[in-house]
Amino acid sequence: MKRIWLALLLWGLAALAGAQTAIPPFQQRVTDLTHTLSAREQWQLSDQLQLLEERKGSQVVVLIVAQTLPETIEQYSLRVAESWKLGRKGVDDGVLILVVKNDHKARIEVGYGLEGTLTDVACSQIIRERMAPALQDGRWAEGIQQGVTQVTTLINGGPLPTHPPSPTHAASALVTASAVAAVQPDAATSTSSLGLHPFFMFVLIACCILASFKFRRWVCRTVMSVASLGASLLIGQALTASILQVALVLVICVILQSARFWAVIVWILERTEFTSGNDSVRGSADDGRGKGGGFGGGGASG
Amino acid sequence: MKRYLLLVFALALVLSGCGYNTLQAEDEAVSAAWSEVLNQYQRRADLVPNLVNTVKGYAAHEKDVLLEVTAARTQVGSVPASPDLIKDDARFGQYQQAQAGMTQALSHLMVVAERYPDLKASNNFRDLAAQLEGTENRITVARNRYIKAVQAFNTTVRSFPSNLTANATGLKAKPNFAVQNEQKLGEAPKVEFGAKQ
Repeated sequence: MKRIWLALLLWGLAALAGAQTAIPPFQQRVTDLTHTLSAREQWQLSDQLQLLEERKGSQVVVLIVAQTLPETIEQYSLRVAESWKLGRKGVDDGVLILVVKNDHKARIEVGYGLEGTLTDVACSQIIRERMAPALQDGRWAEGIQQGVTQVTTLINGGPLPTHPPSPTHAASALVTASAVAAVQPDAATSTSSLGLHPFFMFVLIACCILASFKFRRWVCRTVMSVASLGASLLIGQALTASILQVALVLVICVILQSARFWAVIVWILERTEFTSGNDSVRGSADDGRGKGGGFGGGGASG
Repeated sequence: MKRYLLLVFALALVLSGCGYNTLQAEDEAVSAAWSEVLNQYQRRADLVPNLVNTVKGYAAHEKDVLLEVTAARTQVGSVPASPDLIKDDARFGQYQQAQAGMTQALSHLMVVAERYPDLKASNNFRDLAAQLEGTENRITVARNRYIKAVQAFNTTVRSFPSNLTANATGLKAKPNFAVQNEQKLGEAPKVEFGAKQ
């Protein structure tokens, strides 16, 4: 009986740990998951925020959710701000105004670059004096409008690093940025998912190449493939994966030992002029928007 | 010529596979995360004198809690906050303990402040409370980031083949925040607070 309870408890804990409130995809400056604001109010707010972004470059967005459980409002807002990568790259001037409807709570999450302008004291004042009274009464639109206006006023008056505003539509750039961020982790982990550690493969190949100065090439290659097959099976790889692995190692080895490959490399090296003429292309592809995300927990909630 | 090229190429492959660069990058990430932790703790310590003075103005007879905060501040000051702390397990523990004591003392102070409406209504106290709250939140964020950075570093230091490189270059696993310690520290003052009421 005890075991069943324990299992149930563990299952409950696991379910709790897994069930974080989801982060909505970033699509526009005002994201209302609770359908509290009318279309007109949303449009007005995002218009105001777009104007600010065009003038000052800082990216302020609004998110309304029903609840953030099991996390606190601070944990959730930081997670959202980081995943949306608000603000400009290097300037980190993003601001997230988060309203949690069930708790009647709000938080202003401030990026590193604006911590001097939107200090904790200023943010807590905005929430306490402007937003909270309306939010407590359920006048959502008014409270959020007040918060946005106050934050905008502070940013407009504050000394901000000025970048020329980019002509492209910021929202679309942001979506691509977050899509890229979602893809990157996969690419990073793919090197280790080869099965064997790349280091081991390199050692094998190097040994094979060095040994082939002394012995016949195909003898070395056979020894090496047997060794790598054994190693992959030993660490619990599937047979097909191990054989693919061996094939990969063999192909690399054959390529490295062929005279034609090196002739091609030398030919390429001889013909290449080492100049950096492609910088302008890279510069135009990266307009630096929606790639900030430098948040350190600044801001206030209430 | 071809043979030499081959050797150079093989050597480069072996070096890039041994994890030296990863170790260096992660070591640097841990140092940066630790500096941020120190930075935020310092920010909190700087708030204390003002906070104590403000509370004193409205609740001078709450000597116990004011003394506790002052003592905790002295304790924090006695462990020099240097980046080298993460190289010394004992001093790292001391620093952690001092900071946890500070957290406790400050939370007591805020609880006591709740009983004084005049104090709570004063602008000065409100601003300081907002700053303290923000700083505590930043400390939490900085600590979480440090924990993650150390986790990544320690994993690299302990797994093959980068552990060989780590051994050769003298890099050791770094201390992380101990949860047990925190819990112990969190329990004791709760009893004290219950007795007071």
